[in-house]
Amino acid sequence: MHSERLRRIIEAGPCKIDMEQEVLGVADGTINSENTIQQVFAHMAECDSCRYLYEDYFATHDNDGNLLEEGEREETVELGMKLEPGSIVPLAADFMVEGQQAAVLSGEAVSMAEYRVPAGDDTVNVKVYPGDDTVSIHLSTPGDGDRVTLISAGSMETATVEKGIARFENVVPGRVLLVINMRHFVTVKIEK
Amino acid sequence: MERDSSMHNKSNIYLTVRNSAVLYRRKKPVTYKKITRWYSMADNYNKLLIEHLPLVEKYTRKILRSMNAEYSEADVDDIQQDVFYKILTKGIEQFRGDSKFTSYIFMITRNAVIDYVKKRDRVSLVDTDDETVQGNMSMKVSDFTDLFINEVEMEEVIQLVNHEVGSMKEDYRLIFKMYFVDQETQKDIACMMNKSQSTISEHVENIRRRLRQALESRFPEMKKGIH
Repeated sequence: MHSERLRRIIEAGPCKIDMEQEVLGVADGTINSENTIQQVFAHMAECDSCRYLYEDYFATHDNDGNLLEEGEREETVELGMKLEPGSIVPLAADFMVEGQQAAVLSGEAVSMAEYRVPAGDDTVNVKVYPGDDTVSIHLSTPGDGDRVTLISAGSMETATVEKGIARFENVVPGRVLLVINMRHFVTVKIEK
Repeated sequence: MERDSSMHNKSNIYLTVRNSAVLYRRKKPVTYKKITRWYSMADNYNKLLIEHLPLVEKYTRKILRSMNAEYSEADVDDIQQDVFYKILTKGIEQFRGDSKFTSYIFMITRNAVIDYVKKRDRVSLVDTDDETVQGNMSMKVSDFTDLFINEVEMEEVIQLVNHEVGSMKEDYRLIFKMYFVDQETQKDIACMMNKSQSTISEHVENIRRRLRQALESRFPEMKKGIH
């Protein structure tokens, strides 16, 4: 009946500590204190409800906080893969780079999964490298200084793009959300 | 505020208030007259709230679409009705100023959408002849009993509840819909019906007792489990 996402939103329930207004304050730019922003992102690592609220704000508003017109909505990017020791089995070919799509369709494992995903007017590259129990995620954006925040169950880490790459090491499998410059989202679902 | 924009706002408010009156038909105590009176009595903060009401419809549709939720025009109307009620009754005091005011309206609307979708997906009640309980409403039979009821019995239970509710006096039917179907709080119902909370609580217990008795009499073998 519902999309998977709507089901997850309903299951998440309301925020237990009533942080929704602060979350929206960060989203719409009212809150610009770096400390508070970090606190809100740290909270979103723990609170699915607020994370979905933050995503929904950007699914419906443009950079200036205006409601998006019909058809302007940025598609949600979700990458799915399974971690096997030393290799990755991508679960869908969406957004994969051309050279890898054939391997994915034949169900083969790859030593590194590479995706090219939209982020606003730009395109970013996401590379996922397998470890034994964790993965490394490297994200390449066009601009040095871009800020990428990784949020997963119970943890949050921010990296700045240097020499074109933001790196996240030892990422535990699960649902991982990458937030680029606080408003573009890439969800990476890693099964184990 | 510029004169023209003020007039434009007033025209928006008029439309909103008129639409609100239509939407509020089923919640009888909140009427066009009442909203107009609220506006005339409201301080500047609450006028600000009322002036933002036209945003609610846009947000409602946008949020439903962004969540890929199935919806009809009636769903949009029902959600707006909930949001209007929350905005008009809870007012400014819950807005802390951490975000833009439009974001606050967005939050209230989004929460109402989620609540509405949750409610809608509960067990559907079939139509009755009474318009108060007519339509695509939902309720949870476990509000009256913790019995395990299979699908065949459930259909019978729903018919029984409909019949029983249809035979109740108008106030009870309204309270049944607001409390058991729409899941309003007793406090909110008391406010909407201009009665005390203890009166509403008493009515809710009476409704529950009548429905329980009807169920017990139809399913005597399950009587032990009913509470």
